[in-house]
Amino acid sequence: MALTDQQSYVYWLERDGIAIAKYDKDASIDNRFTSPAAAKTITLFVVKSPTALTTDLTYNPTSEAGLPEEFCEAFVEKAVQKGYEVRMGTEENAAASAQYWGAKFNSSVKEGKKFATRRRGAVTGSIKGYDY
Amino acid sequence: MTQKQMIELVKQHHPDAGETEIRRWLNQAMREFCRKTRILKAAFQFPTVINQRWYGLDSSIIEVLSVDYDGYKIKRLVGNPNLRDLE
Repeated sequence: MALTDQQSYVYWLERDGIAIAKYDKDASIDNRFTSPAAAKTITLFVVKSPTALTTDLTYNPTSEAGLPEEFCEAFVEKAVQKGYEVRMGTEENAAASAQYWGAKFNSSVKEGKKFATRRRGAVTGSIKGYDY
Repeated sequence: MTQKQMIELVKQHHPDAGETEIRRWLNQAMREFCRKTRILKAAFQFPTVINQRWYGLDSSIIEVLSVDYDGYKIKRLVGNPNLRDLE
């Protein structure tokens, strides 16, 4: 498909679905968007959720591309937090422990955000504050 | 770290918790972590059908970053068309 033809296609998202249509801004409002007239390949580049754990105890979540080993600790931190939340009301220090493990998880989320933004490239620079 | 190792670590704090319950906590943790960090990127491919506009999205997709049609990047429409259909 020629580049000029490709540029007239657009997509939009609605109701958990994606619509692909050819857009002609000069057409009447009834014919401005037409469905693809040929079978072509669509490639979606997405952010996805991880494969859920099953009863296979040997499964390693980091075998999924893009999920580094060090973040397994974060999953444990959140699970420990949830465990303490369940014990709140029956155990004296459960609330404080839940808060502690929640904070550890949030710190790991920050690290994860940094890793995801960097996309394995070099750090490009930093913003420094100055007094005038 | 395998699932077994993660469960053992959680059990050090919650020895009375069952394996199924811990697995549920870990799954919730993984989903929350990946949703908040947007760390897991992937590509999905499917063929279009002639005269079909709408296609369902896989339930594992959190966010669509960009779309290629026949190998070329296409633009995202801002808003929705005035004339709507379910075609």
